[in-house]
Amino acid sequence: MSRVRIPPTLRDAVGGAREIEVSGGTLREVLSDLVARFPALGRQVLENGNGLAPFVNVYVDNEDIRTLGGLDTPVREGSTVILLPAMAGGERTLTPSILGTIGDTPLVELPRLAPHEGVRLYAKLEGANPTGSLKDRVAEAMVEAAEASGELVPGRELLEPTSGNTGISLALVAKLKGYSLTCVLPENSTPERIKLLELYGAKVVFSPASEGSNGAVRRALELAAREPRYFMLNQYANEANSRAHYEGTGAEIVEALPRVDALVAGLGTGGTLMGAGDRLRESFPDVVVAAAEPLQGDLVYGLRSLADGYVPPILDVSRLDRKILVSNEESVAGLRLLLDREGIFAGVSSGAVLHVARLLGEELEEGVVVCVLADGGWKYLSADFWTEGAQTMEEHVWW
Amino acid sequence: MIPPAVRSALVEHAEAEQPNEACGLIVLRDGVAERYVAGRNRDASPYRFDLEVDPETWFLEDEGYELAVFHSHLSSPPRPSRTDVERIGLWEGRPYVILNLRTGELAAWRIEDGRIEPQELSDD
Repeated sequence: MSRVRIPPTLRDAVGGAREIEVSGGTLREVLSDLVARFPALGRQVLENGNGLAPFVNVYVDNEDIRTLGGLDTPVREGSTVILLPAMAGGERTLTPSILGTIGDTPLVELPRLAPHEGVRLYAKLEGANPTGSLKDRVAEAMVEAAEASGELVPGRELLEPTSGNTGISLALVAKLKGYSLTCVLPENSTPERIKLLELYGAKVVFSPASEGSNGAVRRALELAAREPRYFMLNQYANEANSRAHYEGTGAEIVEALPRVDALVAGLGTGGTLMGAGDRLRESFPDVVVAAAEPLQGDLVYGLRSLADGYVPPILDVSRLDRKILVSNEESVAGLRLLLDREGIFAGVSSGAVLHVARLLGEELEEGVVVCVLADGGWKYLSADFWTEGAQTMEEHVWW
Repeated sequence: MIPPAVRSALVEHAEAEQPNEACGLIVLRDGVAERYVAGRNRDASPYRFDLEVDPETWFLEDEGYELAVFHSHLSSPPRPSRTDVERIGLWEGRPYVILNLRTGELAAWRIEDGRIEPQELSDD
């Protein structure tokens, strides 16, 4: 037998014991014995049951196992194994994968667009995510949640109805995690999106333009019902969607600002409004969470009119303090203001969000308004919202 | 509370480790820092730290002491970076002190559930 000394930080998992006698001839066997007897130690010590967890350092007879044989280090009769917290961090680090660049997007002040001197207007630039939209946060969170629950396993194929952004984000995540992906999108999606989906390796299935987003959802549901290999993450009903914004977007805003009086985001799946809204309310209980909603009947995806008949399951309308309708013309005007006044080349829904943010700012005598700009303008270049008339909006999906 | 003598020890260690980040453990009793145990930055990097310290130091908590993990930032504010938050691991919710070597600013934090909560810090 040998003994394992348990640091104070791990004692709750072992009933308060300071030392535990264990059996095993190698560190791997010793730790497996320990975890079998104290399952609460589980992932804190061994990752996926066989690798050393990242947040623990281990010493055998006062030598760090990283300089010995790792988990294959021999543990002799009477040896002492010490578990310790592994403390690491630092000012900056190399990013091990492009997925590590998701989130932590810039929060930029828009002084030239603030409605008056008393109001400070800020924009969260989600176009700075690796595929250019906030859906990178959602895609990564949904895939990781499905993996953690055991529902998504190698061999299953991801399927998602999307106007493009979510699909492109999922295509990136799927590529790096080794899954194939099929996207169902309205046939009037911009060619940049279709091309990007294909470049990232996704298969594309079209739904009729006239049916908008609801048609894409219907088609995807039909495919999923027919082919069991498909696994639909369904961002409209997936709690990981809003959680990504609670833990990411919202937390980042709270961390950056000492005060927020209004938060504005587009009404799409509801993920941003629910998640970031909840997080902001915890720190700023009086914050107004406001949705920019397109007019009923607009052929939009991502931004949706609730009056068109579909309320995403993750969207709890009672948690929206304001819901402000925005016309296509107002959205395009906002889009052009962002570029002309602040040099921000954003996607079309950002124009709607800016419009609402400025309206709310006008209502305040003084305060701080934050708007979430969902994506950059690059995927809309072919639609040319910046130089043509606003009627272009009628021909394209604009999220 | 971090008295001037302990604070000086933190600054001296951070200066000695330049251009790399310094790290170690601050030993406190009843909220007052009694001493600093300098560690070795295994990464020997200006941008990262990986703390190596005499293993017995971690067990001082059994003698009624509290520990705070310390590291220095060379130029950025003494606020936990994204890397610090992601790698807080078993130290979640426990005292975490950062020194900005450029300005001399020292700040204490707790990191829990991805949130960074400032802690009061005084020198007397």
